[in-house]
Amino acid sequence: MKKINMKNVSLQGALVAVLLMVCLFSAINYVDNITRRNIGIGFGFLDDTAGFSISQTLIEYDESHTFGRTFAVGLLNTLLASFVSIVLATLLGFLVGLLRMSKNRLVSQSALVYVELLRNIPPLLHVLFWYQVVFLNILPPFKESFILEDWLYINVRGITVPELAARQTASSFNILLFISLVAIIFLSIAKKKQVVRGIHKAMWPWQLGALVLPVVFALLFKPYDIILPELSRFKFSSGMTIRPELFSIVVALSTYTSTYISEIVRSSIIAVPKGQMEAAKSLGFSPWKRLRLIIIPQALRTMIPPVTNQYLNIIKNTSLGMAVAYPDLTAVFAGTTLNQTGRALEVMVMVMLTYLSISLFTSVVMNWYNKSIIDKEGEMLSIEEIPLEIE
Amino acid sequence: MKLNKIRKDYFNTPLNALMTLVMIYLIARFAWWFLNWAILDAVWIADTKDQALESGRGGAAWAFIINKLRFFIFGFYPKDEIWRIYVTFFTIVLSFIPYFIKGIRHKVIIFLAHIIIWPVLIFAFMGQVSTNDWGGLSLTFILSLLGLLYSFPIGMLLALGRRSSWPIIRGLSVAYIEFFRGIPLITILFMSSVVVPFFLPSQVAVDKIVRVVIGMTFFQSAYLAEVIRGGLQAIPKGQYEASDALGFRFGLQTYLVIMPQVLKVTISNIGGISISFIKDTTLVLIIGMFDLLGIVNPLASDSNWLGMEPEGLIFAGMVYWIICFAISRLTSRAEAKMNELPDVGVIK
Repeated sequence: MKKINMKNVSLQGALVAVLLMVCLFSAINYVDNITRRNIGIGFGFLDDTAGFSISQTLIEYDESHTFGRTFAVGLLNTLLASFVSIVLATLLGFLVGLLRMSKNRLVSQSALVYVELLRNIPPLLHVLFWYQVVFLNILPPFKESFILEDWLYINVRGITVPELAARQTASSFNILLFISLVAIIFLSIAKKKQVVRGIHKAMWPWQLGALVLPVVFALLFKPYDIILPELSRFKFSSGMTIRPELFSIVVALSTYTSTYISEIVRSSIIAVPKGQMEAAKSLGFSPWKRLRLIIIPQALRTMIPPVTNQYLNIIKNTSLGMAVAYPDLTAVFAGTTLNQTGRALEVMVMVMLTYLSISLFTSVVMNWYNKSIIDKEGEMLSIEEIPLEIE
Repeated sequence: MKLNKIRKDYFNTPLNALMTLVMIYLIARFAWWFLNWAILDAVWIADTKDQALESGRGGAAWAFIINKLRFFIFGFYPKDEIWRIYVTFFTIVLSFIPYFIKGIRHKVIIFLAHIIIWPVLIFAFMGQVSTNDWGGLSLTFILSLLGLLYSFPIGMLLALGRRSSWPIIRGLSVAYIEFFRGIPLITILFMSSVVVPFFLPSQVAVDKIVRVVIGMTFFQSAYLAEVIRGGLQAIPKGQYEASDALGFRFGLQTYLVIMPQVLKVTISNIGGISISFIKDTTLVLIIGMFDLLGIVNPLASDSNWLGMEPEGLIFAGMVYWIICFAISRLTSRAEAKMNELPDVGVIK
């Protein structure tokens, strides 16, 4: 039987008691304060009419919707900005990380300057810079928009691009596109399996075929109408506008975080044993294939945990959009909704729990992906599977 | 010979040659434009924006920065009281001297003294002026210094707690660390500025800056705890066993054997954390405080200098860059120097 140390038990018990006292004290004060100021308690306010408008909404929303709806709108905006920033930061980070390793010193030193310059400046300053300097000061006013062939309008109010309007054939086109994408992925998995068995059959004609099908369909039936942006007097009557707030936060976060990702990429590529590169060279792999088939798969193992941390940082940093009035979860819900309802504690608890669950969900997914990579010990064939007619 | 090397390094393949040429072109274009804008065409002396526009050729109006330099550094602190800031910071700098005195063997005592002396100095002495007037670079320094000072001991305790064998302590430490690492700093600042007053008795009013420092300390200590935990994991098991065998109790073992080695292996990570902490202090602008970044907008809405945000932001960016870059260089030097030290346990 385990010996119970009385000292340990009493110390921990005392700690718990102190924490409970603090909680109780806070709770008493809280109830006292809200009754004094006539603020209600509970989450009933979520069903009340919000009565304020939001500049960017991914789902249907106007003043007559509820406070609960503002939560969904803000959350979707946060997810949108995070997702786009994560994709861009990853691409940019890989590019810069590879450029940093270039033998051409001009290129590698420029990449170094990019990294050192951007990452020693606070992310909030990045956001404000893109918004206040690039958008409000450098870009032309609305009337003198920079126009590219009627397709693209750039001005202080954002970047306007053509919008797609669905026609009757749109749904069948979407299904076709989805099927062809699945087919392409399936074919590349099949190709990998065949290579392991020593069968080298070209798969790309089939993949190309799978891609051509929806394209031909699109040309024949025109599933979407492309509506060009059209200027009416003070605003665009058609077309899709990427608002400056979204643009600033996405560009700022993806460039800022790409500096960290590039360092992670570089150090994990360096960490791959040198013999791997030499072996690949002596087997006659081209530089691109060396990187794609030998180096990067091994570097991914060391890369994933720190890159996950950067993704989490991006998600948390989208809350900086508040400084430029990007309507994300923090700005809409912890900002406007909190001010309108006065339910500070309820609102903040909801916001913090939401961020916490997004963070936990992301790290669970990335841990699972990491595990699936680390557990893979190369694809092994059993003795019966090995083709005997090897020449 | 040299030409050959250049050809081999920069023009060995068509792609490489193309990249070289493109880079040269881009760098030259940008450098020339920047030189013109920032120095050749810049206006250094003017009293208002209109004057600057008249005398300039479209370059930067650094006159704005020069005119407003006092606000960038001291915020809206009254001019006659600025000596208080000088005295405070001078004393803080002086208080580092004991660390370098060889005779003092337990430097922890100095650190504990700082924990008590700095806030007293800052809030009792500088606090003669309302904290609403604090701002600029001095506010950035105060927030970073106090936050770092307090998050260190708390982070260490949390890291030890997370590795503790006492289940309640371990559970609480894990919950604390994961909670604060999972939410953005802004929500913590919101909590401290909007919700925390509800938790205090209505007669008690805690100053906004104090609440912000406490919130930031909570946030940062969670990150610091993870860094220190990484260091704790890197300490070979033999160190624990040897000190156990020598009869060290837990406290003495941690203080004399484990922590010195942990600090040695984590120094570069601690430097990184300090840098991100300084960058994080800019977030106070969202809850309406005027640190170095937050003061740009109020200064640029002065009717004489309307719309000077670009110069202000670039100036603030340069200051932040210099501070952060200096810290990263300092920590890498300190790391190099630490590695030259004899291993812990070598008796001279």
